Amino acid sequence: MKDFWSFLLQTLTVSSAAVLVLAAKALFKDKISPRWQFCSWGLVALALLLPAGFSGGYALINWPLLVETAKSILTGEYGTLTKVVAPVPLPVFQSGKNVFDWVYIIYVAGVVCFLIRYAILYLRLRLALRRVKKESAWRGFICEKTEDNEQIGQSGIVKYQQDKNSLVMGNGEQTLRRAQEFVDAVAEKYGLSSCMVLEVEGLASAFICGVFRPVLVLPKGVGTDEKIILHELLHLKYHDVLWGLIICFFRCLHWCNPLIWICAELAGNDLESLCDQRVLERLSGEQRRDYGRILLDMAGGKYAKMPGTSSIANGGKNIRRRIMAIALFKKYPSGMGLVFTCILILFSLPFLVGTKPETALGEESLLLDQDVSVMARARLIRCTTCAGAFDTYAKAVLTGNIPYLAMCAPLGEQNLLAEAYQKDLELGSLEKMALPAPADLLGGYMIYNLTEKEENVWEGFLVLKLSDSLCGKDMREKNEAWFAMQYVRAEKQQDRFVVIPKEEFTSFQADEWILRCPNGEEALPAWCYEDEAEDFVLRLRWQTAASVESQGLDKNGNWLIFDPTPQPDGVFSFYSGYRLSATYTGDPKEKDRYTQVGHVGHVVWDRTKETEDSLRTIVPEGVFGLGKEEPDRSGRELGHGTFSSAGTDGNSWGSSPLKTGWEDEIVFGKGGGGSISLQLPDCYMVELYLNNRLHAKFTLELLEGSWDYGR
Amino acid sequence: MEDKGVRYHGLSYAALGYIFININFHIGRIQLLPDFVGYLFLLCAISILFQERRDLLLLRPLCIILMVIGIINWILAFAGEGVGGHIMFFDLLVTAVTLYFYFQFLTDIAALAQTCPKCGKKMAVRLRFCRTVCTLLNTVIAVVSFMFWNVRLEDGRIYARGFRYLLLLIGLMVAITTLVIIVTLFGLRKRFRNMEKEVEIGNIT
Repeated sequence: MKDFWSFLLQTLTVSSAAVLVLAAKALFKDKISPRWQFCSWGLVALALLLPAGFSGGYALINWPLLVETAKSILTGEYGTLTKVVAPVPLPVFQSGKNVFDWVYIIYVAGVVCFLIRYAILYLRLRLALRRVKKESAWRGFICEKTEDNEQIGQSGIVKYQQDKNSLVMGNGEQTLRRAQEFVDAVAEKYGLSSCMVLEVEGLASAFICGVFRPVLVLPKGVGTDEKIILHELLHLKYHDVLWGLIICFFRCLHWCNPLIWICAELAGNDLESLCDQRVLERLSGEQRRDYGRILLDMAGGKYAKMPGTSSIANGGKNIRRRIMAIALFKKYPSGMGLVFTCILILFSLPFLVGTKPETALGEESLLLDQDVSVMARARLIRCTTCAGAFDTYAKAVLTGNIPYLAMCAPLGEQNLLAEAYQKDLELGSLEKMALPAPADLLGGYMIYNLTEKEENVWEGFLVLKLSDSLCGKDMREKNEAWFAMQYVRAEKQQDRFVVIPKEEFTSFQADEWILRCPNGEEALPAWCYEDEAEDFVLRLRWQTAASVESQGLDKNGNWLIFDPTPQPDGVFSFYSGYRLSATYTGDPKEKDRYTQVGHVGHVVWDRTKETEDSLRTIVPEGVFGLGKEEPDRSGRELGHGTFSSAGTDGNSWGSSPLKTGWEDEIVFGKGGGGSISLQLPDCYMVELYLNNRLHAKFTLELLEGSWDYGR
Repeated sequence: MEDKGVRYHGLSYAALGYIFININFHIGRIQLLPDFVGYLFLLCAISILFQERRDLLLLRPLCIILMVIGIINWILAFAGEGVGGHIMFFDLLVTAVTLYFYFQFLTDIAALAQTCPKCGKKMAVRLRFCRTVCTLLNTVIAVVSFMFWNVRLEDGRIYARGFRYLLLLIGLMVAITTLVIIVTLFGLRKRFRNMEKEVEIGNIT
């Protein structure tokens, strides 16, 4: 916790765990034994120990939204996200900038004060006990555990039985020795370990003090029952003083949360009830009733609580609750351990795994929420994938929606976006966000030529279709349309991907299918492969594209349409495509001798994995039709990723006729389809056939500098 | 004599309750064997069998809670809605109540089965085994469902598919175990009825 807001988030998260435990305890109050009653506080401890939202989500209730909204309303700050880095307050070295910084300083001071107060109380008690110990040692009262003493212990238990089940203190030097013997005897009787005993005058009840060198402190001059000693020794055995200290520590951490005080009180009482249960498990018949009577006698009294101690007497009200628990001791259904373990596992899930935060900012939430809440909600939605960030950005541009943009914008820009949203400005009024014309929402988008620049940094061209109204009749007839293009970058900042536009939108006209699949479109940048042989230069333009599948049903549930709701967790579907052309570079007078042209090509993804033979013999079987145009295919092998010119039937290989005076550039065709990755081919092997004879073999290599966009 | 009648009737209600809760037929959105009727049967079973097993009385408030939720769910089903899946806090508590209710109910019924002289022990062991299996599997279903909805992974789709198959498999196992419980409950009922008859014949002769 570094500031007021992170403390607020942490304490609210802990409160939700506390409410869950209190509700479950209320539901199962007569069904859960004290052992499980105490175990259930482990859930609150879990929430106290884990920083709120450490798993990326929230626990049970969407407190982050509430905290962010409150922060934005009260401070006007949108550019930060509240994050709890540690479940304890971290020191603040800077002076308070606003009132909430001062509130946090007061909170930290409160924690320190409480810790010091409890530490002083404990130290004073230890010092007082040390004085008592020194006095006793001076008088030679303290006895070390020896074989003789063990024998004394045996006799002590006999003595205690004679004294009607209680240690009767007398005056004189022997009392402390007898007390030690008595405690040792009780410990031995119940198979427990003993500890040093001290007597203090004016004590209301016995208690255990200290974790590492525990001392059992008994009231001086008052008879202490064996069962009380047993209770305290059980505290010792199960390290209840340590549990008490942990509870005390948590109370200090959340000193201003009354719910935590209530829980600490109840947890302390459950600890005592658990100890009562352990005592009762070791007693039988009349002894149990006696134990109940001892507690009843204490019910009316007032007992001071000290940190680092554990006492049977923990206040009249609490004792009454414990007596109720004792009354139910035998009535709890037995053998319920398994189901309570299952329930605790289930309850701990929201705190361990976290509840998935909102991943969509649908139209409904935009309509229902207030401005501040919408922007808080938007910046809380993390784009967890690069694809999700690009998708969110593209849909923000398509819909002109500022909250969508806030989902994928860097935190530094959130204040600007919030201001624009509150002033009801259009998205286009923001820098680099103006489209040349309204976008065609149903046209969707594509990220062209996506490239990984470094780890978690990707760049590519966002391509959107512009409104159909811009297209003239000619364009429609040619199946062309207007598009907008922008070079954008997605990078990981902290735990979220953000999108940064690198330039303004530019418009261009192109084949309207480019938003379905790339095809080497010339208006868009591409990777170029080239080779020259004989009197031809072969050129191939390679493009990749990616988009998150966004097809949804229309309102009637019938048609698949583009769904403009961002998918911040989205994953890309990849596409790739090419355009192959040959340019004649020979003597123009001689070109008419070529009347037929055809080709066969093969993509080489990784030339290190291909043998020389497979590189040389690229033409696959099966792609050729029968007939005169069939090229020589002796010794050819089946190859993957082969492309070729098609014959007249569209299926078999064939060549195309060349008209007299044909253009220097022959476009063989363009095409593309789904792809499994964005990998660039190593090279292309192409055989050019002229007049149905092999004319030349080409190895098209990636041209250096053909792709230097954004560098 | 009266004791045996109590067991027979109580177990009949329990078996019917299990059938109504675990077997569902739908006509459109209408549930023909509503869960709340099943809980009503279980409530009747508890009200009768508590004479034999005092612990069962502890389940009465939980049974009423589950019945009320069942009624609300049945009504909301007409609008295609349900009480679950909206507030996690509430869902967790309901799941906890459900887990505990069935666990203790079957524990008590198993203890009751133990008193049956013929095959009682065998049936008790079977019921306890089914109880444990059902509780564990239902916990796994709850955990897996929670993970399914809340764990964010970059290739989430693949995991989601895996979760779906896992849930289907566990659901099948739960269905089989529940079927065994129902059959055992009817079997136990029959044994107690035969016991009654034997006692009656013994009295007449």
